[in-house]
Amino acid sequence: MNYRLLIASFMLIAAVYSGGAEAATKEDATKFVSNLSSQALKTLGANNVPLNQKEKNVRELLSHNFDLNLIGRYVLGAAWRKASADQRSQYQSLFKEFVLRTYSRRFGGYAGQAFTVTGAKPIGKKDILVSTKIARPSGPPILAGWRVREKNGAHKILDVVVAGVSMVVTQRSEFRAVISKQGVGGLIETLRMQVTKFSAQSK
Amino acid sequence: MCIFMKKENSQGPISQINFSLRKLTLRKPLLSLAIVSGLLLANLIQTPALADFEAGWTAYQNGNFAKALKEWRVLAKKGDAKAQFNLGVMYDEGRGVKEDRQKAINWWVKAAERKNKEAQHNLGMTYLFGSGVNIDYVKAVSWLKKASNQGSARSQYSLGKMYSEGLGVKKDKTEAFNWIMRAAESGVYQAQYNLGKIFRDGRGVERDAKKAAQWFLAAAKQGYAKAQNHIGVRLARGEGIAKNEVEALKWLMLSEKSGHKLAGQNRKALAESLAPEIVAKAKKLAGEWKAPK
Repeated sequence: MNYRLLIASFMLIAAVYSGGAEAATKEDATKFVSNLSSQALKTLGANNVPLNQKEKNVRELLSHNFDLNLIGRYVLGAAWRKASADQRSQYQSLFKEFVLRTYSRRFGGYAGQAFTVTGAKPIGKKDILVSTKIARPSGPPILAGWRVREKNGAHKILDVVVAGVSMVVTQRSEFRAVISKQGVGGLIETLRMQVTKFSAQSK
Repeated sequence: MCIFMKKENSQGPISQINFSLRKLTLRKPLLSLAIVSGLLLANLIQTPALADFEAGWTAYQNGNFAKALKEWRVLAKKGDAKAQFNLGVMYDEGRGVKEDRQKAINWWVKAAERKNKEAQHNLGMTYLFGSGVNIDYVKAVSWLKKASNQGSARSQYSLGKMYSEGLGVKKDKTEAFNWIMRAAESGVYQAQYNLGKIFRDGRGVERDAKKAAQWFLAAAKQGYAKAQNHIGVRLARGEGIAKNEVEALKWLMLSEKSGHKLAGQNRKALAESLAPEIVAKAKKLAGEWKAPK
């Protein structure tokens, strides 16, 4: 991933992710991510737990530790301001479902590989980017950065950056493509349909 | 939000074979012996592929995606549509592999060409959303039509919406109505809710307050908050359905509980106009209500 693109992504996020929070400290943010990683390991590494139960546990973990309201608002971009109150509330609940479904499936199958914090640095005015390394049984480790913010004493994740690619920036550009063709109403309808995709089938 | 839909899968062929075996052995012993041997032989020939598929499924359920991929890939290359579909899902969802929409599409196209309706539906959804590929409404409609004609209820709903919005196809209220109706009849709650609105507004069909209320109620019973708000208002006014303030308040309470803000305002206004014992009764009913699984 292009370094300049990465910086540009963060600047873009910084413009929206401002206001209403105290600055997180590196130590607290690191502790939060380490703690989250041990909870994830406990869930994912458990033996004899069926996949759908693991996914449910991951979903819980994600919904408690990600600020999905703020992320959803950012991802909608300029369209948020033009959306009606009813559209905003419909969008937020569909967005949450969409994100939780996507990521609980993506992470639910990890067998609980080692997850080490490799560093932390401030990002934007209030946030800390905690870098981690996730070992894999084969292939190089995954490098993931977690953007953490403290709000009323609680820490929340605002973005995940894997191999230099920001989750929220990617999502935002995908949504923008739908909005440019069909408007916010169309995006809402599209999200409503997306959750009807079939998952793996038994015989 | 959850998806409450009727199961679209039917029982597999093995259970049907077992059923007919039992009937036959009771009647004509010799004939049935011959048929049994034939069937057993056929079963033996089939078993390895089925066993491999099952081995893949078990591995998948245990999160052993590497094994699932290996088992299903062999079958998929031999043309097993379900294995092809499942491989597509693994690439689409990034299970044990790097998420790769193009690979997902390639496997789904193979399965879809073998009339796998789940693959056809997912291809429709993929071109509609465009994540990792270009949005293409014409392709989306073409796959959704194939899945809909094979009876996939959720595809019928999406296809109906494409006709009503004129996406990838010429706007057609009658086609929209027909497909949404079919999905609603199969129990897709979004379709039932939409049908309620179609009858309310008379889009592609005669305006009908009674039918509107009937479909809003069907979706409300499945736990859809928007429909619960609509039917609550209609029951309070006696619009298309007999006036029933207890039921009206119950649905508004349930809708509000699911986070529907407007229902909260409607609930407040209605409750203020009613006697405390009626409110208490509605509260009790709302507390006892359970969404179907």
